[in-house]
Amino acid sequence: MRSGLRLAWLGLGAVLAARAQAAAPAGPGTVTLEPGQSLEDLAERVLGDREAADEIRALNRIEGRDPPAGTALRLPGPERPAAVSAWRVASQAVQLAADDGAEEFAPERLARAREALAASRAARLRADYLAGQRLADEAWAIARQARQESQERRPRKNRLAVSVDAEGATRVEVHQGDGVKVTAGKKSLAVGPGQAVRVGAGKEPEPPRALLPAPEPVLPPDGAVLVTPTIHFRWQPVEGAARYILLLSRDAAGLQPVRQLSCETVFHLFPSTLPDGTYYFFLRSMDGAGLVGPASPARRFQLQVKAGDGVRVESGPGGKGP
Amino acid sequence: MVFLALVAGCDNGCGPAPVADAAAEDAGEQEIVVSARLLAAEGKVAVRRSQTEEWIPAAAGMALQVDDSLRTQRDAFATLQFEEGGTLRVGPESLVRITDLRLQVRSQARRSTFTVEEGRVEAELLPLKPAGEFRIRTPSAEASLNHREVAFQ
Repeated sequence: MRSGLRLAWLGLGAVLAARAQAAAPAGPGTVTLEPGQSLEDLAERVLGDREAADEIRALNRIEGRDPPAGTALRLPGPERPAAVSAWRVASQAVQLAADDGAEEFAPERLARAREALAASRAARLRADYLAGQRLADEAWAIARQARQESQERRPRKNRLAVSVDAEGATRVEVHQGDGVKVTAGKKSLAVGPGQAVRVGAGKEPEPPRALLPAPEPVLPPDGAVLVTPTIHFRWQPVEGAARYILLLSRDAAGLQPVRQLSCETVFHLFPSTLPDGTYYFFLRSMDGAGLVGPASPARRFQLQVKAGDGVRVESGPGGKGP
Repeated sequence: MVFLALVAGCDNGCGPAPVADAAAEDAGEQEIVVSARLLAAEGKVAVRRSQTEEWIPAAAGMALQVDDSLRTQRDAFATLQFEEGGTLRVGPESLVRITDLRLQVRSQARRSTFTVEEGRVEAELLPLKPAGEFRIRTPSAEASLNHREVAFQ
C-alpha cells in the first residue's frame, strides 16, 4: 500500500512540477520571484504548500528577509515528492497507532515514532529530502510496531451482537473475547468467539456455526482524501458471503455510526450527502443464514467535497500540511 | 439485602441516576443501581422513560435509567455507554430496554442486562470481573456472559 500511496504522490508531484514549470521562465528547476510576491506565495504557487518556503530558503541559502523581485531561485528536485509522500504515509501510521490505543498501551514507541516524524519534517524543511525520507520510513516502522504492541497489550474486549428479526428469531454472534452462554427453552449452549447461533421463535438454540471473516478493504485507501461526493468502496470477496455490511462512522471505534449499507457485491458507489470531515469505515460478511461476522479494522478517509478544487488528488492523511 | 440511593454511573460520565432501590443478590455485597449514558444518536432516536408512555427525542449525553427504553427508526443509530469501556450500539429499527444496571460497591463488578425487543445491538465490554455478569435478553432467548461460566468454559 505504501508504494501505491507513493505512486499517487509521484503523480501529484508531476502536477506540481507542471505548475512549477509554467511559473519558471528562469530555466529548468528554477523560478523567478515576482514583484510583490513572498517566498510563501511562491511556495504555494509552485509547490502547493506555503511551508515549502523554508525549503526554498534552505536550497537558495537565503537568511533573513526575502530576496528582491527578479531573483532566480532553485526549486526542490524530484526527491521532494518522495519525501513528502513518506512523511504522509508515516503520519498516517502514527495516527492509526494512536487510534488503536498506543497512547495507553505503547506510549514509548508511539513517542519515538512521533519524534522521528517530527525530525523527518524538520529535515525536509531544510531541504534535506533524503534524510526526510529516511526518518519518515523509520517513523513508519516504529508506528507499526507501536500499533502491534498496543493490540497485543490492551485487554481483549468482549464483542457480541444480538438481533431479533421480523419472524422473532434471535441471532447471537460472538465476535471476540469470551464465550457466551445462549439459553432458550430448556436448553443452554456455549457459543465461542467466531461462532454464532440462531434461535427460532419458541425453539431451542440451533447448533453454533462459524462466522465468516471480515472482508479485506481495498478502496478507498486508508487515509485517503476524497474530493468527490461519490465514494467508491471496494473489498475482497469472502467465500460463502451472501451480503456485506458496510458501516460508516465518525470515530475509529465505530461508536458514532452515520450510515449502514448492505451490499450483495464487492463494491459500492455511495452517493454521499455526508458533511466534510473525517470518517471511518468497517466491513462485515453476512452468511446465508443472516449471521454477521466480525468487523474489519477501521479504515479512515477524509471528505473534502466542498473544499475540493477539482484539481487535487491525494492519498495520505489530510487536514495537515506536509 | 441492601438498599442504596444512587448517584453514580459509569466512571466516564454516566449518571447521575435517580434515587433507586436495589436489592443485592449476594448477601454482604452492597449493590447500587447505576445509569447509562447516550454517547451518540444519529437519525431519529427516541427514549421512553420508565412508567411512561411518551416517546421523547433522544440526544447525545442523555442519562438513561433502568426500565427506560430506546427506539431507533430507519437509518438511525444510538450508542449507550453503560460502564467504563462498555458500550451498546443500537442499530436501525431497534427497540431496546435497559433491564438492569447494577454495580457491586466493593468488588466493582457490574451486572448489566438489556432486553432487545426488535432490531440489533452490538455490545463491547472489557473482560468481566469475578461476580460480573452481562446479559442480553430477547423474546426467545438470552445471551449471557458470566465470569464463572467463562472460567468454566
